[in-house]
Amino acid sequence: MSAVETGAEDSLHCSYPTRVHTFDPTRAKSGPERQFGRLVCRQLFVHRGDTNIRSWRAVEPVADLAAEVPSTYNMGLGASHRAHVVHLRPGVQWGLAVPRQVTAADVLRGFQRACAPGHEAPSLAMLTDTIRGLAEFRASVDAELAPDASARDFAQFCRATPIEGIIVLNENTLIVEAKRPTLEFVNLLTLPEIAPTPAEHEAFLPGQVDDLTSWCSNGPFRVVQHDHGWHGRDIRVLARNGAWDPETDPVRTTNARTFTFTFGAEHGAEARSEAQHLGIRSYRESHGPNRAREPADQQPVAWAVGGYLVFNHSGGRLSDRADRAMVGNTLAAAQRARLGHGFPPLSGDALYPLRGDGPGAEQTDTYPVGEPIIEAAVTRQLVALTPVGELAELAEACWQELEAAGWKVDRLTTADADKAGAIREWDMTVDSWVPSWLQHHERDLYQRLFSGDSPANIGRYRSDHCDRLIQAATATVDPRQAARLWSQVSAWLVEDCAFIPLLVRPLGSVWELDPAVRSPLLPTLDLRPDLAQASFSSA
Amino acid sequence: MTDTWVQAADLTLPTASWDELRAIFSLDETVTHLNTGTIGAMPYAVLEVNDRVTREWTGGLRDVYAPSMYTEHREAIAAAHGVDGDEIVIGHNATEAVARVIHGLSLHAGDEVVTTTQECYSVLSNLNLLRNRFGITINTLTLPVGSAATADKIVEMFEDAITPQTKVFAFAGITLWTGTLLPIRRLCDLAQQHGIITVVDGALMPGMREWNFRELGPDFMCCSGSKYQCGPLGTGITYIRNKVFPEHNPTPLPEFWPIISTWYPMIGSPPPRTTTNVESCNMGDYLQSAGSASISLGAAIGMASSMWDQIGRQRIGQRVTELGEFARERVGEYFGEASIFSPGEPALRSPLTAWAPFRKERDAWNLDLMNEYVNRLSVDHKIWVRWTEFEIPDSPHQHYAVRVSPHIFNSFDEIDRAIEAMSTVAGELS
Repeated sequence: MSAVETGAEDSLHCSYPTRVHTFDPTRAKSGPERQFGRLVCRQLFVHRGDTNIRSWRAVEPVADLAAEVPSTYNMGLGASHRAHVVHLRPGVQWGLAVPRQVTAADVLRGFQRACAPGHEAPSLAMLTDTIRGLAEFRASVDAELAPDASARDFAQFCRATPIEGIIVLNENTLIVEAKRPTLEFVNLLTLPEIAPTPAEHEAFLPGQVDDLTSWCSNGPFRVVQHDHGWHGRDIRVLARNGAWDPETDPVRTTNARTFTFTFGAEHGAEARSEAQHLGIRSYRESHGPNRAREPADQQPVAWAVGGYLVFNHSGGRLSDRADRAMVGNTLAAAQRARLGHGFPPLSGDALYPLRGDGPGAEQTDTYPVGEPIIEAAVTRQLVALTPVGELAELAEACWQELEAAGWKVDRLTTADADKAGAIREWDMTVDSWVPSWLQHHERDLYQRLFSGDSPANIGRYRSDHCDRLIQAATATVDPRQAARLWSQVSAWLVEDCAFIPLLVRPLGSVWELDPAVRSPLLPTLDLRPDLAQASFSSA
Repeated sequence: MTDTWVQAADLTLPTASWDELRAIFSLDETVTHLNTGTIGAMPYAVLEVNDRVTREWTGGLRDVYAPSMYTEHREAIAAAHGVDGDEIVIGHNATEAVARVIHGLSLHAGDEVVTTTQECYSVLSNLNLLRNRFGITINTLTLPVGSAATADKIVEMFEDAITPQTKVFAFAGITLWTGTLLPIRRLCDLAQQHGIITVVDGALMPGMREWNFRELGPDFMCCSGSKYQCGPLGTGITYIRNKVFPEHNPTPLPEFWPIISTWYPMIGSPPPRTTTNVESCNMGDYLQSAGSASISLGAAIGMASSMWDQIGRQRIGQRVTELGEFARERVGEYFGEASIFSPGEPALRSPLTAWAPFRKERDAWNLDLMNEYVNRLSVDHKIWVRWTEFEIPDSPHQHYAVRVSPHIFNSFDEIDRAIEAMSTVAGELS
């Protein structure tokens, strides 16, 4: 084990049944990965944890590496609302052998790496649609670099190819230009995929880091030990980063001495008991029905899509809308069975937040529920890609419902698919979505998951009509008009059976935290504790 | 007259030389104040009135509400601007005036407002509030700059923007960013032809030269009292058209709700608005009566206005224009005509000149460099100017410029020295 003391009262052991998708914090997909990333990777702007999740403090992004959120009052934002002048916070350093200041060039590099060949950021469609010049930069990457280009080639390309709308004025100041006024601009800059990146990380492409002890942290902690590969388990030990200065960080602390993160953990009652016996402070996540963390009589602070059925629209056996509708109808009819598994019904109410819940939003039809079994379908054989982790149970429930209705479902796990290189040969899978921010976040759902050019559109859904609606919705700064347009996007997706919402739930992941540890919650991380603010009391 | 009224009895003002007039202002002799577009310098007499009236009314037992209506001051200021006292309100600043006017209009979902990207934030943020509250549509035009800015072009842009839903033109009389004097009369004519309400942000206008608000033709004019009028900070002047003079503005008075008013009846309605040149109500009083007010600020802005009347507003306007033209000429010599964002067309010029001081084009959007430039001018040379920011047609960048805005307390010599020093510092930073 590590040389650092990980069993002290001010150390926290965090364990997750979830396996990691990638080691790279800038490509973190799941809440646990982002929870970890928050400790070692800072962004220009960030959301805060708060003990009151309805507080504006938990909703509004605040300056992290930036000195201030650009506004008309600090001369960072003009009347056009396109040019955002970002001054970097002085004194923030990379935790290198010889610490070095985070610079505007590091910020630019972060944006460039969002477009890395073969490793595009899941949020890229939102970013290219917003940041001036980023779409052109991405096109240049596609045109001039092979999908398997090396990290060195990409680094050279980045040094020679600017992004027109990101202007580095000097070491501490840059301008980030938006194509047009954008309501969510600062929220977009909280995404980890564009986190500022030091030159040292040019040695690998995003998502390709395989040993996090080489990760240059600008956060309060750094990885001192990283073990992985044993049955999907991944263990990371974090110690305080000596280059981190609390005066330069408004949202994080080093109250904890160390963290130990274990992904892919199997922690039953026995393990819990052992941890308690050893006096280890623990944070544990588990799968299952989400735990209500808000009073039952209050409207949730936000909704998440706990699961939705993704169709393979690029040549799969469900590329025809009528076939997708049959699957949707079958699953809708089987909702009572899902209730038995602890999942809420697929109802109009459940779909409400997907329809652009905001002022002026139009009511649309609920999901078209029809007869459950279609004769012609029962002979169809479908390949279902079962995700690993918390969605596996929900996916399996769906596959069984389809089989009960007469479908033949061959199962393939995502791990199998990766091994076989057969990722295209599937018809349906299950994924989930949690909002990256809380206000005006419809694009985080619809543009991220369904726009034709989005890397996160894993089913490769493409509809020119839908893309036009998304473009119109992102182009307006009128919240009413935006709500109407997002409502139309939602209605279109439902009508086109682009996806099947399976589980719409209030925010709230499932976890237990040692009673001696206190931490505010992060609405933007599905109400997980903000470990960067964890405080410890004596047992 | 109440005892809040202090007549500027200095009979030397009408004939005083410009050097003598400079002495009436509370100015640091070591500083070159070229930033009246942000805040003017107060005359000592205005300061004295403000101070004295504050002391006189502190802890007294008199009725503070009657003098809070500023009736005499409003009458005098109105007369100086070609309108009547029932059409003038003394408020706190142009921002407040814009807000009270815009929110007093009867706008509904689908109504359109045409405005420009060169408006003060007070205009744009209030319009956005209305958009969010009622669902109005805002069409924001990006005005041309420099030699591309012509009155014909600006009027054409507004005309092209008109739709059947257009209800309001909201524009600056003189933009604070480039000092463009918009063709107010022509825009008001255009608006009147289409039954469109005109809200003019005239923050820079009072005290700069002689203006006749009625002849200009707007429905509303929202002005500062602390810029070219050189009143105290926290004073503003609002003109609300309250009668119909067909030769200037034949359109019916717009439906208007005097929000923030203790004069508005608690039951019933004010009389219908007039359709003639005789007012049917005192709209100014409705807005002026808004709870307790600073009697001293009213007296001080009244004093400043009175002094301007005595010096002569036409005379002031001529002097300010000459100083502005001189500054512009010097800027052209030192920095090149192409560097100037303020309009070239004489009819659109104001005393304000804004230009790009650095040689490289990309430095025009370098806020840090501009900040350093303005700071260095202030610290090392005691030259007080400001930088401005604005959008330019067909450019994706926010542009920054340095702006000078001379007033009668400036001299040709100090402007000459200041522009030369600005050139030197710009060269050092370029």
